[in-house]
Amino acid sequence: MIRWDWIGRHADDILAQLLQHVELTGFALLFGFAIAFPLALAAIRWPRLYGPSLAATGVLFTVPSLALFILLIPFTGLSMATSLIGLTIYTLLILFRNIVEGLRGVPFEVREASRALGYSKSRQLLTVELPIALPVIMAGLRIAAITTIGLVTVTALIGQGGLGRLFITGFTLHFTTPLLVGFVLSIALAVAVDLSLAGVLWLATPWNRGRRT
Amino acid sequence: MIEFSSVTKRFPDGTVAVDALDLTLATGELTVLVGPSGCGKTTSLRMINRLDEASAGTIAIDGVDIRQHPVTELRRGIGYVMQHSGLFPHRTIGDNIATVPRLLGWDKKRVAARVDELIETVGLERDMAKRYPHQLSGGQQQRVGVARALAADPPIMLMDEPFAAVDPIVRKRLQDEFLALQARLGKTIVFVTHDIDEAIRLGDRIAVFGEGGRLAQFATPNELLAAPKSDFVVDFLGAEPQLKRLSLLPVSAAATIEAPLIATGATAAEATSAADTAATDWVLVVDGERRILGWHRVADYAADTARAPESFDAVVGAGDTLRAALGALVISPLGVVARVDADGRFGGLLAQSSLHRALS
Repeated sequence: MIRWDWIGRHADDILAQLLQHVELTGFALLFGFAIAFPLALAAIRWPRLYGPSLAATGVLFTVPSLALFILLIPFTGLSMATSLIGLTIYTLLILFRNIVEGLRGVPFEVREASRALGYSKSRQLLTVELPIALPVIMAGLRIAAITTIGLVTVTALIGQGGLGRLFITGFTLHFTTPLLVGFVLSIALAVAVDLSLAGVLWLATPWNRGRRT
Repeated sequence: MIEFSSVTKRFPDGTVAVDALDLTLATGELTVLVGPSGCGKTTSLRMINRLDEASAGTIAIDGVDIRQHPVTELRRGIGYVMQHSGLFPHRTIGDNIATVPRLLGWDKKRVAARVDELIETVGLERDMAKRYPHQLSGGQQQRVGVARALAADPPIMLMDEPFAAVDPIVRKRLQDEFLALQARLGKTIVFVTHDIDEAIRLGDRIAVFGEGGRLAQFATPNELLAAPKSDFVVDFLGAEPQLKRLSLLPVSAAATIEAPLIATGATAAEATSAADTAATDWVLVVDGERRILGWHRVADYAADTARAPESFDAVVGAGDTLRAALGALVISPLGVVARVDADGRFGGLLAQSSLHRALS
């Protein structure tokens, strides 16, 4: 069933694909956050932007992943850029929505208190509103991370690395071992990332411990 | 001194919350802004630290227009307490209290010392500094709110219905403690409430706001109750304004009447003479320390000087209010109340006429 000797011989390659998978996921989330965060701030500042922004990110989210990558190929080719652009687009809806919801969830009287005590707007955002919004933002980040880890397997089809390569190898060779390795590793990666984000949240929000529902 | 000069606040939807307000709040006094909801009292308060900006007119603190300071600097110099404590849920009690000192860049040692001091000032336990707001009761959270407002020792405090969200028993205790604190600190306080009884209890001066953001009357609690300027103010003061005035006046403010006092073992003639002088048909018996032992009808005492006195419970302390004196008066069999000092020694006799004169 499993050819352990194949795994042994290809350990370096498997590790490289795993690292690339992590790398693509990480960059997609980073870029996604870099776009969603200012967009969310703008949508809170000018509420009229919220509907259109949500609609736009929502429409992008509904485009089937493979179709989106193929659409991008004429512009960016079979490149890392193509997969990163695609992956980033899929994180936007979740990140945008959760950042907005998180910041909107900061109680009115807390925002009033920080104004009344003499916070500047930026300091209020960084030291009061963001920490309080963190649980909701992190919830979005966790979903976005897991979704992206799943999607990265698809980018192998446009010639990029990641654990999806193992699936392609398995299918072309009619050989189950790489399929199983890819399957197990992608699930393990998703679980590990989700747990570590949960751990980061736990460390960063000591005030929430013991009253979590 | 906080001076409003023809201050108007018009909101974007056209409602006028405050209409050409002229008001001068004295330094070191607790001024209460009171009125029905929508009368502009809260907006007036919020314009002082520019949480709301005046549409017209000027507000000056000690002669300086508040728009001359950068807004964050202005706010850091003014304490602010709100109805729901508005504590930062992600910071410990100690860190909440330290907010303004840290914004002002105090060094760590000074901040820590100040936090310790304030936790005691507002009557909380030291070990609460490490807890989070959600672990405290509503009353405790309000105390932290007060401590946070006091942290940088601002000369002015703005308080927006700070005790409205706690239950009546806790509210009464917080009010008492707050009055004691203010007696010690002497801050210039602007206090908003919709509760006229709270206004009367706490205020050195009361500004009553009417509908449409107009000032209906500005006076001391006693003046307000004694001479309300309009029907609106009369209505707002509610039932029994005279009883409310009595609750503002200490027993020591009322004149005493002639008291027919005798010592234990006095003769029948001494009792008759004491009663005649005071124009009564009874006498009060006191011991050698002038503590009240009870009373006799003169006729009964003349018949039997050895009889036991009737008990006399209509007694008030010098620090009680005249309202307490009135309460004692209605249960007194003789129509009089005795004032006693902290050791229970007789200090004078009050009748209904004493209360009447105190109010007129």
